[in-house]
Amino acid sequence: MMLRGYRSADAALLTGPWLPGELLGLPVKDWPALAEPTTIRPPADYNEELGVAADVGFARFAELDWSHRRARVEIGLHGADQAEQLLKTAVHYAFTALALRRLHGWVTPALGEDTAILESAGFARETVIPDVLWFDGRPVAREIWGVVRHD
Amino acid sequence: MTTTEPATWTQRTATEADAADILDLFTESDFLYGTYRPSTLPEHQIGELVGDNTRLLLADGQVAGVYRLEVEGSDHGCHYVLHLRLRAAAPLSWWASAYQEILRAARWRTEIVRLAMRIPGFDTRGLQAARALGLTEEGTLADVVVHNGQRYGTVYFAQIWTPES
Repeated sequence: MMLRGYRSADAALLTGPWLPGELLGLPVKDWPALAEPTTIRPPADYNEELGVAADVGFARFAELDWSHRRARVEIGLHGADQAEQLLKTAVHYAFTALALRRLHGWVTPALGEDTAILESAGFARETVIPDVLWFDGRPVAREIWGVVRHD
Repeated sequence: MTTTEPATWTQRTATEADAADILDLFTESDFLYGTYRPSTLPEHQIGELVGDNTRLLLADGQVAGVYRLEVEGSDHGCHYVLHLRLRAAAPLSWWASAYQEILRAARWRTEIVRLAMRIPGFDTRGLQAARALGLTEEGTLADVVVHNGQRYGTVYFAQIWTPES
């Protein structure tokens, strides 16, 4: 899998039923029919990078800090099939093409996603932030998962 | 329009392609969405009423009504008012299922403590629907609307969820 730069024809990939900023942005089960989907904006400045896996999804590197070489990452997919591959591709891209040293992202345990995909891509759970997000009628915790380049 | 229970509710903002459907809604004399006299409104005013904040409500892909949810009261007070109207052919059961779907979507990513609906006293269909939805009838602000030469009050309804904090 390769990431390439965003094109306007990729716009449909940027909208989907996932939580904003979620590291593993997979379609959320039982997303209400009338609830607005999440949309991320096309890249507009140098503080973020958006890599597109054509017809599959995107990897967004937000809050890019070029001095300290870190970013918050989120991916968005319309199906779970290629999540692991996209995440691994995103980590590889960040560490090699962007020369970052650290990536972190938000994980919402209430979604019940399989965290094995995250671990497989090198991420580890770093901390829990209680009651940080309103989701499905209640406040829920979010975790920060990170991966650090060791070479 | 079929009146069997819709399998799916969806929503979207109106486009130019929806103009005929929207005008058709407002030919109903009791399509009381943002106006007390829907059937005599000119097209441009209908267009303003069904602006960017309004969502078309579609039952199995067909336009069945409109709604919008507005913040009310203090900033971040979790207080909202719902404006909802379904076309006359929609049975009462549609109001119930549409309301539940709107609520589920609204409370998905936002805390709501109080959701209000306000219905003019002459709006038989709206009052019947609001009562069927199980909203608390809080009272009537008397004599605020003139309709067919008579004065009516506005009936206040609300549903309240105990605040988280």
